Amino acid sequence: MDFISILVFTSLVLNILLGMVFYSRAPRKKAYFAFEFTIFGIIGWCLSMFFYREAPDIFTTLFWVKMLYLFPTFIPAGFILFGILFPNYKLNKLYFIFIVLLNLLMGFLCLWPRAVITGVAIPPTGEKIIYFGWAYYYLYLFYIPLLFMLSYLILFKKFRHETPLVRQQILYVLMGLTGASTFGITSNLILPTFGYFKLNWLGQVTLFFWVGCATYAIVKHRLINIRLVVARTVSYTFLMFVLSTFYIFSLFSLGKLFYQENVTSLQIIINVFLSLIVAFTFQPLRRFLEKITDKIFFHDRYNTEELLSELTGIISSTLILKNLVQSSLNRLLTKTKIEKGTLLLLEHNTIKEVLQTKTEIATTEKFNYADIEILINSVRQPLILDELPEGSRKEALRKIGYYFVGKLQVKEKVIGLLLLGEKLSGDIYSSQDIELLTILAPQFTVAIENALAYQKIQKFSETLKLEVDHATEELRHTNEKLRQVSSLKDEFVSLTSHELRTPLTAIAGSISTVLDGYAGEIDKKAKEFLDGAYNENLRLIRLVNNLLNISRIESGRLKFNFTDFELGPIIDEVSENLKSELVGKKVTYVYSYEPKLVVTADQDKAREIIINIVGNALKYTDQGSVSFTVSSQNGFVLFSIQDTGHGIHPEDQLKLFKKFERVDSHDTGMAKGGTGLGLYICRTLLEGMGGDIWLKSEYGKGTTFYFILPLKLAKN
Amino acid sequence: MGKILIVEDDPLIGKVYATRLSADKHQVILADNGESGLKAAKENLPDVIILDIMMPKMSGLEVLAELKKFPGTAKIPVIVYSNLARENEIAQAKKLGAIEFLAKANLTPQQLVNKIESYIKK
Repeated sequence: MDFISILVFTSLVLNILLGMVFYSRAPRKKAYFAFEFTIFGIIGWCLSMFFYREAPDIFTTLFWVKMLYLFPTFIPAGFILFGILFPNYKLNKLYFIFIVLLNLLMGFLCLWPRAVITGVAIPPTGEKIIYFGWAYYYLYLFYIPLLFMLSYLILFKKFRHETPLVRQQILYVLMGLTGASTFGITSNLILPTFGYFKLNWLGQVTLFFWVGCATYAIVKHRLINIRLVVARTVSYTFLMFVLSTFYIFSLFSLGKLFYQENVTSLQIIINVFLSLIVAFTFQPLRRFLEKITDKIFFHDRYNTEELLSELTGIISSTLILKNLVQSSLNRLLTKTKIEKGTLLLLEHNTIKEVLQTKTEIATTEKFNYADIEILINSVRQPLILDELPEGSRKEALRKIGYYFVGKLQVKEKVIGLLLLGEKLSGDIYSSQDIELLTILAPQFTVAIENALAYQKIQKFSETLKLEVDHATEELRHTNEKLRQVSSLKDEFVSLTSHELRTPLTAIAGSISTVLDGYAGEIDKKAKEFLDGAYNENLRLIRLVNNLLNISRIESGRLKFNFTDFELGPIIDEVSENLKSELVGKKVTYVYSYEPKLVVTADQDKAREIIINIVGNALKYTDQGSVSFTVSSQNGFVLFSIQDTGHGIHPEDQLKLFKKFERVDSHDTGMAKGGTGLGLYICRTLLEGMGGDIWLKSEYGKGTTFYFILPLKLAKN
Repeated sequence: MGKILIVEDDPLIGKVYATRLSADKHQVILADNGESGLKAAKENLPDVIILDIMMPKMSGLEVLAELKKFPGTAKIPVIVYSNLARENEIAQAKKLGAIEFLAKANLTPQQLVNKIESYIKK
């Protein structure tokens, strides 16, 4: 087994492995099934090549050479099917049958004696020689490139319309194929056609790359950094090309020079291959060894990129200034082995804040602004103690005891200084440190700016909250006060009403006793005055009652004591009491009601409403009549009070039921006393008892008030 | 003809009602505070008691509660009247066993007399 066989065998094993990966990881789709067929062809091809090369006698060789040409027929056939189906297309049945038949035909011709292969020869040295028949020259030679070309075309056509992901996948597959097939077709198809068999194993090896690319493209769904891969591939290809050319030429020329004989092509290939291995393994090996030696010799070495990304992670993870500075400084100091670190925040030419890692105690006193100012104003950046010439800046740095100063600058404004102490090793700052800090400074600046802005917003919102809380407290206080005042007012009104009512009751009782003749005979004139006094007193009582009612309504203490009661007696009683209003007026008052009307309501309040409405009608009517009728209607008792008074102006009708509205403005000279509360109270009371009130009025002619109360629900 | 006790702190009102009832040949006993009213009720056992609420020494409601405790006076009809016709007082008076609650201001002497007489006939 020679070196080439080992390569072929390696390729075979790797292809089988990739095929397994592909089979196990790729989704079950027709397109991938087609590609698996391609891989199958490639594996078979590699296998055949291995056995062909290793075959000891002519018969075995002849068998494997047939296999060697049979298997490749599957590769483009599978690939064109993949091209048509990928990623999710349907395959025309006719195309499918055509491709399968074509493949079968080629396969058949490969096995048929003297069609593709006419024979083999095993020379004592060098590669075996294959003799080709008519089918090879006229069919096989075109079959393979043509199918590949078609696949290319199909995939390219799709490339334009597909999603970015699919495009990347296509790109990978084609890229791998281009690399692999250029070598493969040249070495395994073109060269052998011209009788050159020394490289006919190369295709098997290179196709491995193609399978690798395709597997990567399809198995790894999210293709990251395609550009990087492309760039790497291109650069590696170039490197390979340059190195190969260089070695081949130098081997040829040097070989001729030193050995004075022809160098065999096998030697060239092996040498080129070895040199490529050296070339490609050099970098990773170097890195690996460096890592090990670094670990042994430089404990404090750090990876700039790693540390930067770590620090970026830290500073972007928080907006709290203190946390941000503490955790990033901590990490920076630990990794770079620097003794101490401080961040000075500057504002309006003063040191606003000194931030340090947790272990240190921060004070502003330690830093004198005059020293800091020298450092701020220095153009040189960053400032490193060892690199500074003797002078004020070096002086200032020594004074504050720091070795490194980095300015945190936004445009022209310096928002802070990053101060770092001595390296723990006592060494000077390395170029790596300075590079790191130079990159870090602007990022740090942005992060601190953000944190400061966040702090401001937080402070603002805190102030705002305090303001709001204060205002709320004040409002609550005022509200409480108002509530107290309101309750005092209610109490006052309630008590005052009671106090007023007692004497009013006594007066009313006394006068009525006199009027009714229980205190002896009274003459007509005295009776007239006493009548007047009695009426005015009655009005006063009503007024006080209304005030009391308003107070109850306003304070929400209005309660209803619902009972079922008959209306007749109440109407009689109220009418009797109100008759005194008619004294001295040419007004007739008539009232009528349906017998046995029972309502469900608050009896006292119903009485008040009737007194109010009927009393009003009597009061405001100077001549004519007032008629009061009560009847049942649709589950309600309808009270209607019709008068021949002045009527109510349409504009006023709307205002009438509002608080403190009186409508005597239009009744010039007819103003009557009153609080203007009566109708408002009536409406509120009626609504509370499930009733309603409204009116019809013609200005100058009279008014009819209507109100309703619910009839008692019939029981059975 | 009945025996009527009026417990009323306002002398004029008491006098008005006494005058009216005496005219109808009723015997009227006047008491000007809760305490003396309760005493008079126990001593005289009237047919009807008229009881004001807001009074010195003992409120009408307290008097009412006492009257209902004492077997001799428990069955006497008590008409509670007041100028302070608040819902809770009305409810309390009814709960304590007042036969009627009247608002003073809305009452004419004649109406009161009618009410009293309706209870005496019973």
